[in-house]
Amino acid sequence: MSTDATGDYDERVTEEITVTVNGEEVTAEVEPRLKLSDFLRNECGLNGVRVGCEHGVCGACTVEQDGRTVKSCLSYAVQADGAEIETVEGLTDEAESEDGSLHPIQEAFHETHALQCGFCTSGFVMATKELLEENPDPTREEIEEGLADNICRCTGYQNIYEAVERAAEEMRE
Amino acid sequence: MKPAPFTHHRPETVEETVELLADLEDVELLAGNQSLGIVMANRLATPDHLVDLNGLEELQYVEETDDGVRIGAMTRHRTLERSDRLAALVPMLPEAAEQIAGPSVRNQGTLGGSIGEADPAGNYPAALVALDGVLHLRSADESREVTADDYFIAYMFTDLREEELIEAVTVPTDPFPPERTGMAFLELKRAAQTWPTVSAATAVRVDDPSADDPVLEEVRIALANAADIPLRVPDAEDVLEGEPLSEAGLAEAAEIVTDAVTPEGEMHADRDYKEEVAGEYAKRSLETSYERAIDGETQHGDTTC
Amino acid sequence: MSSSQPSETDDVDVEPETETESFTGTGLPRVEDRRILTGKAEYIHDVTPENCLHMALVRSMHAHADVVSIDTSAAEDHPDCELVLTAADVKAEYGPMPVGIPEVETDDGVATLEEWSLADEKVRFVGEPVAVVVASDRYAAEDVADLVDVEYDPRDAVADGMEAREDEVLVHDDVGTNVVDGERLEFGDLDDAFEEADHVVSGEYSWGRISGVPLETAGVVAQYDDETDSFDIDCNIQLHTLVDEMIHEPLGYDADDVRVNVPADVGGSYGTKIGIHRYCCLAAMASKELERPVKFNEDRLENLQGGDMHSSDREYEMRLAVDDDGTMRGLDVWFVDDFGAFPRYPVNQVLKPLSVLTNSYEIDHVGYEYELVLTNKTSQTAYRGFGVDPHIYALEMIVDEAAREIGIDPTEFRRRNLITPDQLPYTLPSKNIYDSGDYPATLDRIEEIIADERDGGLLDPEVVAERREEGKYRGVQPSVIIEPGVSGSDWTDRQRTENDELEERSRDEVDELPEHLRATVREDGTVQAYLATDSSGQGHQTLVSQLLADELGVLPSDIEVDYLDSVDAPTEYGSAASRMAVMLSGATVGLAERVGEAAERVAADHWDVSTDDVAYQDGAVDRIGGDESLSLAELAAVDAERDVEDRELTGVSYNYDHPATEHEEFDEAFTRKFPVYPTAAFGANAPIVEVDSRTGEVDILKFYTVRDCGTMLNPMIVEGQAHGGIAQGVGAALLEEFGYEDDGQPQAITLFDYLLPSIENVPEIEMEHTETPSPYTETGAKGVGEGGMIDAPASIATSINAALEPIGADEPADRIPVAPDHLLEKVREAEDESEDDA
Repeated sequence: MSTDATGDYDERVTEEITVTVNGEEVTAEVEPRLKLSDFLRNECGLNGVRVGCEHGVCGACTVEQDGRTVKSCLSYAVQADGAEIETVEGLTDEAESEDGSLHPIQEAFHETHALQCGFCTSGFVMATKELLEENPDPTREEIEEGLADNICRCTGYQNIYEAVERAAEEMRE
Repeated sequence: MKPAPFTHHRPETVEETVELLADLEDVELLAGNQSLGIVMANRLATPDHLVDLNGLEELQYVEETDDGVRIGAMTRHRTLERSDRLAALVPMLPEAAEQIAGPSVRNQGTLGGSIGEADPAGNYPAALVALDGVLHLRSADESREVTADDYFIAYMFTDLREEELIEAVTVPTDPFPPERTGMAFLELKRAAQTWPTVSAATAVRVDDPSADDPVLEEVRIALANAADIPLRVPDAEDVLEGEPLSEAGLAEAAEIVTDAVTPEGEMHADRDYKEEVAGEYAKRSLETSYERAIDGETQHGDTTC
Repeated sequence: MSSSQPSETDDVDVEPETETESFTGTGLPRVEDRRILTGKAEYIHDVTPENCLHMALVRSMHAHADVVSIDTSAAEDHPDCELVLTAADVKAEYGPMPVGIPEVETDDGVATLEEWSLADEKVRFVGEPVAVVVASDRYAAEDVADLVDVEYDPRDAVADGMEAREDEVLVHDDVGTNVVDGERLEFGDLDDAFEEADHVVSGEYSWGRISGVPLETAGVVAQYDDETDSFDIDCNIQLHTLVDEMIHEPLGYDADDVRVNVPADVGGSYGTKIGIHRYCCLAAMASKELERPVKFNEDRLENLQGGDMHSSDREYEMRLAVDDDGTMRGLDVWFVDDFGAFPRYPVNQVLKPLSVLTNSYEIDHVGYEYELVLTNKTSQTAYRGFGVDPHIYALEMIVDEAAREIGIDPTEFRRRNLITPDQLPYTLPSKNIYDSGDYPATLDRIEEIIADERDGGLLDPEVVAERREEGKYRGVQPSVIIEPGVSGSDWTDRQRTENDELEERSRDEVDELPEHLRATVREDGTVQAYLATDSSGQGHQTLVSQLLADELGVLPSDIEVDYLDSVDAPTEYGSAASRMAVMLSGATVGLAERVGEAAERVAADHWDVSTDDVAYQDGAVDRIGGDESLSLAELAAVDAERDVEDRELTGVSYNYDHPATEHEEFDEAFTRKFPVYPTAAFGANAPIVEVDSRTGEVDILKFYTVRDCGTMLNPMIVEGQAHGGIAQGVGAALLEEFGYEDDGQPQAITLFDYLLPSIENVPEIEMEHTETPSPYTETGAKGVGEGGMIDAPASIATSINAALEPIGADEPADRIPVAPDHLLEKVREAEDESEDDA
């Protein structure tokens, strides 16, 4: 609680952190309680980090921290001090996107109609990235295990399997 | 779902950590933050201080000792799941680890976090109770060891003192030579994202895996989410030891388990149901462990049921 | 044709292979995808204007309690606090929110039912908002909310619909009863049918409280403009042109002064977000008070427990009158629907099943009776299926029960009673019409598929026997299920009209809302179209692009589709009730014709000839008998020279009329109070399930489905809708429920407890299609959005019944969701009975 009975309130204390976000170093003053998801969205403008449940179930806020996926709603920005973060925005090289090219995972999701409302999509793309980095040719069962931390309410997952398989094929080549 | 303000501490050493714990009031330890953060976001917990253990690289290890394995408290589920050494020596632990949620949760969640939280539905608490694990606790003043059996006292209440840190867990391997041992961690779980309805952790050692009917020399049975603490069921172990595994023995053990557990009912799994499936899952877990002991299979992951 | 492509419609480079081919009917990848995949899509949570403040709500933790006092002083003293509002503030300045049943007839006359955006005097469900706080950011707002001190005097609560009927605990004291509505309808000679039939079979079935639970929670950013005394409200409400009155009425403003705007991307709704007006009102009031933008993002806990977004919660008693030869003579339906604390969209949701009253079966004599009760739970909203899903489930359950009771194979029993193609169009006893299709052929096809699985597949007798040894029982039960498409607004009006007045009604008096679409040809020759509906993942921009491209003879990349807000758009129905495939395609075809005609007028005027001497084709107008031609870009340039009010190619609009109003077959239905849904998509499912008889766990091994939604405009999107609907049906059938303790405390306030199907829970879906065009719609398309959610739960439940038939379990799937504890209990009961028999 930030208050006591007499009505004296604590100053909002902040810490300075430096985080490499999609290859760029970001320095910011943040409250220790600021969630990594809110930091990325509000301080870094990376709205591709979607917030669906804030209790680590839906996976919409999944990002990579130092090469491993994390649910950014379950960690604090101060914990990312010194870390490298990659979000879905980092997947598309800006220069390339001008001519319309997407990351193979994004392209596969597009071609196979593996997204509808799209709110879960960033998380699925990031989870797929980690899965395929570790296992370039996953079976259906391995896809199931790899995406078990992400929930999609629209697609029934059928086309997500297709997308992952297509992306895997593309990335193996 | 935003937490109340707190002060964040990120010690680099265990020494520093226990000193912080000795000095600070109203502290929570932050490990993988797959549970505490949720309670804080709901403001059911509003600690003044969070001591973040993620800087304690010295607590991230899996090592073989003379009589067992020792695992640092900050070892991630993902590491446990993929440890060949654990798979060879105490395969129940990787099998318990790999069934926790999905990859991104397992990248973060830690062994010590799960034991510290002491949710009776958790996987490691039941596994450690089954395996006679020992917890290594440290404060600024002392280091002490507590058996898993003594550690879990009541619902999410443990022997861990406010100024103490869980440093490591050791699991004795003497009772379970891999060539005569089988272990299984079996969850009844309705969806990946939720807690298991019940889980059954079992380990068996047989006299001679190549015999026609290998005799059970040692049996361990522990249930998760079937009581206010992870529950070992020695009576069920006793009826099985000294005989080969039989239908009758399994049925009796399952019945003892069903009688022994005292679960809380929950939506879609009332108390009667959980009692019954605790017995059924104990039985299935035992069957798997026995098959694995006979097959000499030490790798986890080949659950036959 | 213009070579320049608008940047937003991006990467669509699919071209028809020949001149005669079209984009419509192909799986054109969606134009919505790129912005979503790159993280650039702007959902409501991403909208944060400069100077914006953040709102949080203080909510009741009691299911039922008197509010004794609210002390806001500590909250107001907090340095980050900008505003605290309570019911007293709201009542001083504003009105109550509209309720679905404003007046209830009681023994003492008529009692009024009011719902305020903040609870006044009494709280009626856990999570009901009691106070608003506004602060600099959401973190601070939650700090401030913690300081609002509400003193409650708790009361007994009622959290069960059947118990609420006893009126021992009253949710609304003044009303004097919890049963706020009810009606019995009879069609045909029900009594005769039941008296004469050889058998009368009855059963009780229960449908638990489930809902859509989109991944994106509700969100609103309200901005009050002091100069114009008006509001801009950005939010993710569904049907923003229809339900905007739910916002401007409580605010006490005209529709034109409350501009409701929905972003192009909404993170799922499935009906649920129709009911988020409370948040819109509160944010607007706070914004007016503070003269700054106020933002509110509902968090997941708020959403699950107090978000006004649960859906149907029913107890059914069904009776079926059947003859020895398996003829269904009569059906009698009785149910209670527990609406929670306030009736939001009640009557439509309990009456929509009348549009598919007897499902695919010919049953002439039908009774339909409901009671609508209030309890101490959060209020209902709409959810995919809108009350049809539980009806179909209960109906398919009583059909199963009857088949077993009279000793006919359940599939054969179904087949004998199917409506046959020669009967179509078929008028139901409740006067809605099934347009087209071949139900028996669909059942045949799904049976062929099952037969294949019986021969060396999942249902091979040897495999089934082996699994049974382990206590695992496999089974499947196909049935043909109808999805009503294209609701209308006239129905709501008819419900409020006296019967005799209705009978004298002519078709001209039918007041359905058309679908509005408009377009402007831009100077580069591309077309900017505007939707009057909102979307939440259905791919409407793609659909309009591909249809308009075909009709205008241009490329989809030459079309850009945007959205109108509630002020710029006419009042229209919007995206719900499986409408848009029909309504939007009809509107697009009509709009293209208008654009072509406008282009011809501009060209004719330019050349100073009659419009008979020019012809629009493929993005240009040609002069007949000459070489001259003007492209759309050139025509736009010509048009731009005119006075603004004379321009032909700006704001070309078309209103596609509701198809039922164009066909006299529906005239009779329009003189009754019952729903008219002019398209009937249909399908047959065969989910192969395996039930573990020792743990009550259900595994769906594979989900076969054969579906027909008429003409498929974009088969990829059609399949996606079916996949998603089926997955939601799997969740409903096996996992999801907003359970409540007896004292009204909710049991599912996190996603650890409200179990959305994860990738591991949804089986492989194998889908086939047939295409029987609707005779009533412009493109032959039928409504398709809700199908899977309507048919999958019934199919899964009856397949569980089939699986457990060998152990003599009596319709074990009699509760939705089919929870493992309940199923195990049913298995044990059956085992005990067979032991007793032995």
